[in-house]
Formats: sequence, structure tokens, C-alpha cells
Amino acid sequence: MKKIIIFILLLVLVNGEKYAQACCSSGTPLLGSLEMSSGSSGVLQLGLTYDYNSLQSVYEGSRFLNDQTRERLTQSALFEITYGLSNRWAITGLFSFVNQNRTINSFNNQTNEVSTNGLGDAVFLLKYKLVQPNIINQTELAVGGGLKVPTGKADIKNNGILLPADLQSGSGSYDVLFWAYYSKGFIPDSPISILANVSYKINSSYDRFGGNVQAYKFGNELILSSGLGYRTDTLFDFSLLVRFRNTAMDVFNDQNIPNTGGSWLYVIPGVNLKFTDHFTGRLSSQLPVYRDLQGTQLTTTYTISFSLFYSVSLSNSF
Amino acid sequence: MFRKYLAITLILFLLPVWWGCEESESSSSPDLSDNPPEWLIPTNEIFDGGPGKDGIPALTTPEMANAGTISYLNDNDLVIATKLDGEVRIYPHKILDWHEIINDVINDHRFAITYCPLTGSGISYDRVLNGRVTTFGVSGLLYNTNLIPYDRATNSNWSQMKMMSVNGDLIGQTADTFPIIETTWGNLKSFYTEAKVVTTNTGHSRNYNRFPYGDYKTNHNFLLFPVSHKDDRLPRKERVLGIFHNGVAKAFRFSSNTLSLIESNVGGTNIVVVVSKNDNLIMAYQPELVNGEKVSLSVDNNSLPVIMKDENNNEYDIFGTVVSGPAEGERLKSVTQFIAYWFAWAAFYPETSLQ
Repeated sequence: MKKIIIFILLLVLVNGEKYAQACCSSGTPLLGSLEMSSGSSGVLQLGLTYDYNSLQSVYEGSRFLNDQTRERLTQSALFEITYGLSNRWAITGLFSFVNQNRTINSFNNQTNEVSTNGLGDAVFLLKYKLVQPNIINQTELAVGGGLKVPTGKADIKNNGILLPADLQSGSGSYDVLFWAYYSKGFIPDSPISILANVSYKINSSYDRFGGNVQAYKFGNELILSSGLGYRTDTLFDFSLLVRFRNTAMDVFNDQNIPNTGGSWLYVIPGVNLKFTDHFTGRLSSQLPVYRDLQGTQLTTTYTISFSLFYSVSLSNSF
Repeated sequence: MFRKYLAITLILFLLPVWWGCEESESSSSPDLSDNPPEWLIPTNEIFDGGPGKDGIPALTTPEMANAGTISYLNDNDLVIATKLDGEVRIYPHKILDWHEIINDVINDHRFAITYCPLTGSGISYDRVLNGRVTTFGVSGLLYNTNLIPYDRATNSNWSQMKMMSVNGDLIGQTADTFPIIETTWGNLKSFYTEAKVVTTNTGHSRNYNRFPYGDYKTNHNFLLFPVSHKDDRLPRKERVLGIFHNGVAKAFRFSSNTLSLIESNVGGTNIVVVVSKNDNLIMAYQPELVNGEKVSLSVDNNSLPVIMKDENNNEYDIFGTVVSGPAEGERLKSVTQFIAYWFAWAAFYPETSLQ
């Protein structure tokens, strides 16, 4: 068992090192990274996620274009804290650090590369359990609302020249987000549970170019996830999710920006690792199976995420 | 066992923090690091357009075919054409919208057709810089939302519409240009059947039947990047012929539906502008042959591609070449000119007059 754990950790670490000086493109995956569970009273949950997002695929609408000239890579470190204020209320903070890289395989096989690093944006979310699970009914339904705060820089420059929005570590805007989570287990002791999650982010505008005149707004984002969890008596649990993601087109000066926005359908297989009752991990990959994009865009080829979660009951501790 | 897991957790937590502290909130780029930081244009008005250096791939001596065999163009599609040593070559906007620069050669004339779809400006740059042959690429940077090409000999950046190197070893050097015209495919295809036209077999996977920027060409409210100077005399996306000569800028509108000749003066030099809105033609010439002979030009209607004649019964085609008459083979002196969207011309040449 130890060997398996060490192998998985090495896999993640080796990948990270290989691309350490490379970086990312299309922003921190804040919305998709919000932990699904809604928290328990007095319990502090800590989560640390490393997310590796490789963008090498060019699509026009839903049509794949064979273009190997460019690549984006986004690596994110996300730290999530959730605390259960009561049996029904919980509060979550999600903080990010993002590293982005743009690589162009250009003229004469030369490579042009731009990298940016920085603190990303943060999310604060208040959650409320509408339905609490119990021994008889293992159903949980929670909703939440919150704010995305632009803690990341949105004006990173390269030799004095402003870099594009998707190479900035932050979005520059305060955004409102809504969140809902549903899970259902099956008694008496079925290993299978079903999960569903909805997140929606309404973005506001910001002054991208300076001058306090012109406004840039990233498109609103909707994420719907649904799937199955399978519990075992071993170290490993398994999950398989289907995720639909839609982003509206970005807007600048009330005009839609071409080649932004679209819809994606992903399959997300995952392995959960139960180190102890309080300490767990998750390795998952997000694999796009369908895209329908506005115009022509470089888009995600795959993502790999590794998370570690630690929970402790503070009410017992103090 | 638990301590081991905790230790691994801490290591994994600290790794990204360390990684972040190395170069927090910063950027690095070999794109520009080889260039001196001095620019002739304000750096806060230069923007990275997104695709990156060479992210929009310039073409070099692309595949061409005779005009008679080209089927991907519609009659109303705009094209850029050049005529050098009697050979006509045609560079459709449909290709240039996606590649912005086509490096080409006709005999010993080495040139780069540069075209910015965001400013609607097409200019043919001489690819011989200080005796050295080079090619141009797309830097990925924009000034006044206009293309900044770079030359691959010195990595110097050029402002397309200023026609000047604005950064790098050649900073301050003005570009030598070749005359081109911009008109519709329909105008050219029937008169220049032997002309060579760039095909869609460019080696890149693009949908050349789709304009990459939505309704940008016709939506006057839509700019992708800020410009330094706004001028409301005309709608933003109206195409004008801009002439910059001896430090004086003047723009000409498609002011006549039928073929007409406008006599004007720019920077102390007499010019004639031939314009036809119906034919989507507008070009300027000096009323003087390259051999120094001054001529008196008048419009020759309904004879395309012949558009002018002179007092010596010389007939001139749209490239300003004498195609029949005693001076056949001669050519009118050109004047530095290009078509662009009004907003862009006015941003680059805010003192421009308008006719």
C-alpha cells in the first residue's frame, strides 16, 4: 500500500517539476475546485489542491483543428478552508496561487514562451444545509452563496506591456457566485452514492486597460456536475463525474469579444485515498469529451488534480 | 504512520508556496528580453493581443495558383494586389485575416504584405533592411489596436501604420514600401486571369471562410483595444485612403459612386486620387511618370482595368502602369498610401485632413 501512495505522490511531483518553468493560460479553476461537501458543525476542513491544466487543443466550434503551434499550461495551487458554524451553516474560503505559461512553436522551430506567477483570486462562500443526512436518510442538500474577490493581479506586464487577460493571475473583478450540492447514500450499507453539484458565477466588469473608461467583463460561468461515488473497505474509494461547463462570451465596452465563451462536457474519473478518518486525498483527471466553442479557441486537452484534505473537530479540541 | 502523512502534506503545501515566492506576481518572457527597453511609442498604449509572438503564423512564399482556378473567393471579397515587373499577385483578406503577414518575392523584389484585420490596413514592406534580406513575423503586440510586425534579422519591432521601427536595433528607421492596391476579387479576377493568388493550402488548419473577429468589420462601436486618439468626423470602421507624404497626412473617402478623379496636394506634392464606390476602388498617384515626364490625367470610364488616360493617349491600369500608348510599360510615381479604418488612421495621424 505504501508503495502505491509513494508512486502516486511521485507521479504528481515529477510532473510538477518537469513543467516548473512553464505555466498557464485560462485562469485559476476556482469554481470547479470548490469542495463539494458542505461541512459539519465545529469541524475544520483543510484542503490543498494542485491542478495541472494543459491546453493544446484548438477547436472551431466543435471541430478540432490540427494546430500544434501553441500551448498553454496553467498550474494552480488552491487552499480551501471550510468551517462548520453549526449543523446547518458552514463557511468556506478558497485561496489560489497560479502559474501560467504560453508557449509558441514558431518560425524555424524556435520557441517563444511567456510565464506569469502570482497570487490568484479568492472565494468566500457561506453554505446552508437544507437537508442533513442521518442514519435513516443519507441525503444531503446544501446551498450557498458568496463572493469572488480579486486578490490576484490583473495588470501584470511584460517589459512594461500589459499581458492579455488570460495570462493574468487574477480577474480584476468582484464576482457573485451561487453553489448547491446534493448527495444521496443508499442504506443499509450500499457502497454507492450519487452526487450532484451546481455552481454559477456572475462576473462584474473591471478597468482592464486603465483610464477608468472602458470595461472588460469575463463571461458568466455555469458548472453542473453529477456522478457516482463507490466506497470500498480498502484505502481507495472511486468516483466518476460528468461535468458540463458553460461560459458566456467576454464583453468589452458592451460588445461581445469573439473567440471567447463556449460549452464543454467533461468526464472526471477520480480516486479517493483514505489515509485516516481525518486525512484523505484525491487524484482526479478532467477529460473533455465534447466542446462547442465560440469561434476558434485553444482549449483544455486534459487536467490532472491532486488534493489532500484534513479535517479536525475544533469543538472536541477545545 | 499519521506523522508521515502529515509530513507529506506539509511538503506538498510548502512546495507551491516556495514555487510562488520564487517569482511572485511577475512575468518572464524571452519574447522581448533580447530587445532594448526603449520604444518610440508609449508602452502603456501597447497591448499583448493574446496569441503571442508568432502565435499568428506569418506565411512565407505560400502556395499560389492562377486566378482562373481559385474558387474560395467571392466577388465582393477584398484582396490586396501588387504588380512588380509586370507580374500581378493577389493576397486575399481571407488569408491575411488569419496570418497578417505574407513574405513573398517577385524576381529581386522581396516584400512582405502586412495586413492588420483590426485596423483594416494593408502595407507592403520591403524585406531588405540595410542590405540584409529578412522576413517579417507577427509580434503579437498591438499599438492603437494595429499590428506590430517584427523583422527576423534584428528582432526589431515595427509599427505597421507608422511604417517605422519603434523598438530594437533598427529603432527610428522608416520602412521602405512597395505600391499595392486593395479592391475586390471580382474586379481583379476577370482582368488578371494569369495573376497568382494565394491558395488556402497554407500548411495551417484554419477556416478561411470565417472572419475571426465576428462583426468587427461593420460594427462601429466595437474595438478590441483602446486607441490613443478618437475622431468622430467619420464612423469608426469607414474605410479611407490615407496618404502620408512629407510629414502631412490626408485621408480620402469613397466619395463618388462612379469612377472619378480628384486632384489634390499632400505635403507640397500634387496627386490624383481615383475613386469609385461602386467598384470599391480608391488609389492615389503622382501625375508624373517614373521617368520624370509630367502627365495630365483624366478618368477613363467603363474600361476596367484601365482607369485613366493622359493627353498623349497613354492608358493606365489600376496599378498606375501604362498598358497602352507611347509610354507603354512606364509607371506613374507612387505616393505612400494605404487603406485603413478611419478610427485607426485618425489615431495614428490625428492632424489629418479629410477630403
